[in-house]
Amino acid sequence: MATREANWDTPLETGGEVFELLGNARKAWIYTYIRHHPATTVQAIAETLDLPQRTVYEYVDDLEAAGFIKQSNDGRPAAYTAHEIDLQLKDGDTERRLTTELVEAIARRTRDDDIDTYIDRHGLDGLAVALAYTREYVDGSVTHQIMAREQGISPLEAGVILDALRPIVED
Amino acid sequence: MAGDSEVVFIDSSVLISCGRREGTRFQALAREARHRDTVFRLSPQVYAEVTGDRAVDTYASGNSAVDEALQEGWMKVTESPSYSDSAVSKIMDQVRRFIANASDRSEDIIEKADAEIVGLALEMLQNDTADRVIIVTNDIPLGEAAESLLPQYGFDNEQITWLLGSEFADELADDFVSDFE
Repeated sequence: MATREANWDTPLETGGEVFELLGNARKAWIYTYIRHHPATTVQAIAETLDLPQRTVYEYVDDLEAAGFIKQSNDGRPAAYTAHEIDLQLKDGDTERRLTTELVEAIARRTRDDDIDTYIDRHGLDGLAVALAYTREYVDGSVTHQIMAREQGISPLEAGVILDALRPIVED
Repeated sequence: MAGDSEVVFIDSSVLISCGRREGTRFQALAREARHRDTVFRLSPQVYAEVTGDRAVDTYASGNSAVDEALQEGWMKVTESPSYSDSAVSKIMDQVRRFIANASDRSEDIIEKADAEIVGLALEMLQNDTADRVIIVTNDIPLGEAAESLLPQYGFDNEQITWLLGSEFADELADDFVSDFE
């Protein structure tokens, strides 16, 4: 029932430093990759993501400084492991939630055009709402038609985004 | 006329999922149809849902594959269920109520057409077009409604099967983004 009762009117796209992770899909991808592959190295990330190592080093440093990942060995090359993210963010009177799942959804836009399109059309707020519906969908407490009608989108678009996000909540 | 012994309904939730993977998942469905020597049934609402929304052409998902499948003959769109048949109409209302309960929503948000597949399944079992129906949907409340309500109309549990897309064909379980598996 979270999808009906939560207040989604406030924008997610404003806020402090921590929102960098929301706006930078490549950084979100690196965080998510480390979370799925604990004790991974910069070189492994650079090869998989096809990015220059220098860029990956920079992003990994940022993520470590923010406390989202940590070095999990003493030697070299450094291996990194991710912390779960579940932050309540306060912006004035508004509370927002940044979760590991939301970061993964953003990361996936680099590989899944349907998620990219959905964010373009509905913003990060819309993505967070869709993620909440996806949890309900996988639990068996909502259909794609219900999501479509409650959110004023077509059943096809609801079906597309539920299918795109479901691997995230099924983990 | 002897009916098909087994009739398979594919729901829009599954077709949409298949449309996201250009070609590969539809090939898996086509193979299943050949294996089972059957023609998959789409309800009119399902067909309208996956082909009718030009507003979301921006998505990579193309569902022209559905039209190709219809032309190739391994899918076909059924007639609408007989709303005038009291049992068919009744079970569709029951499905609405079932989905409303499962989702803790008002019945108003669920349309009778959402229950079309279950109405059609009942009709085919009743008029002996099928002695077994398989409903493939990723919408869990719809699948549960079919499995729980159809047997109340005098059919055995074995005659009614609900499967998720991923249970129907292995390829439908693959994650789009393999890096995160």
